[in-house]
Amino acid sequence: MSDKLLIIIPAFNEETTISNVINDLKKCGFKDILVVDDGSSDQTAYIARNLQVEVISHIVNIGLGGAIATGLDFARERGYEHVITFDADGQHKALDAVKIYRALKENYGDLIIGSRILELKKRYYIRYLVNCLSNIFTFLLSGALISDSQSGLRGFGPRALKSIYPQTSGYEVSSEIIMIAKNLKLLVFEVPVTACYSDYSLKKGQKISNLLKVARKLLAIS
Amino acid sequence: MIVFQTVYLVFFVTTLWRLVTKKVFRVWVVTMWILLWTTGAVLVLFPQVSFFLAHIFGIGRGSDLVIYVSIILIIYLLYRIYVKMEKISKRMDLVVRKISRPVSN
Repeated sequence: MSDKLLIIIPAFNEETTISNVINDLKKCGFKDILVVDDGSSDQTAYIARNLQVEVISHIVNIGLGGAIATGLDFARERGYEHVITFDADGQHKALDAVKIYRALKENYGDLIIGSRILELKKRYYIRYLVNCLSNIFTFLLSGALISDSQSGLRGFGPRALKSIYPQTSGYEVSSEIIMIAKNLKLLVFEVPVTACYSDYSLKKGQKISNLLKVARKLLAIS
Repeated sequence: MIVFQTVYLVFFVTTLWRLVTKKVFRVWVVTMWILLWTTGAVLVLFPQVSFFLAHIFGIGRGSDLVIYVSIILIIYLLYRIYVKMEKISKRMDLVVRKISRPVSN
């Protein structure tokens, strides 16, 4: 894999899954991996460090958006050209990150989103509903119709990496990134990916109860 | 009514005392709170003032006027607190991100 590609894994209390996620990514040839430990109280950072990847630790938990912003800053400082964000809860397959990377390399878009929507529609109805509502809201605010606006698997090409600076700290960052890309007239492209949800990963991530908070935060920045 | 007036006046005096002696608030904040509490004290001690004001605003009873104004004030103060909290939260996020550095393996 390219020396100019960084995988960012935002992680908060993911000690049970982080080692598998990192090892799978390494097996697929990803060399540069950054774990942004977002104030975890468990062994997430320790495990990641022992697996010989870069680790940045926030002293307190500030949220997914803050962790992604820290990762993007790190990538820009170190001169990376491509970035892929990858969830730490084990819901993504490392091979899908390869698909995202190919799409970036072949210039399908500046921002590549790994869409899990087909998988969600088939099996995970509540998550599908949350995503549909989020997609509608993202569309109303940005004008971009994305099938899985809340996907944590996304790729940033050089233009996106250079110009996207998220301001929000929580889960609303997923919609915000799309809003910024649309405002900057960046090309957003979707690649179908699989979602391997476990009971553990279903407990994490976006929830219906969180939607109002996300909507409020997005309205504040739009 | 005498009981309520006494309780209010005790609160009024102690709050004013704290505001003035603590010296942690800015002058305009202290002035605003003193005005607010003094208005309350006037309305409690002289209820006929609230009847008079209610009449000017076309509201039937003085107590209704007090409730309406209180609700508006509470909503406004909640809004201000919310904005302030958001600002503090954003600053805290920024500080956390700025002081975080890569940890070597």
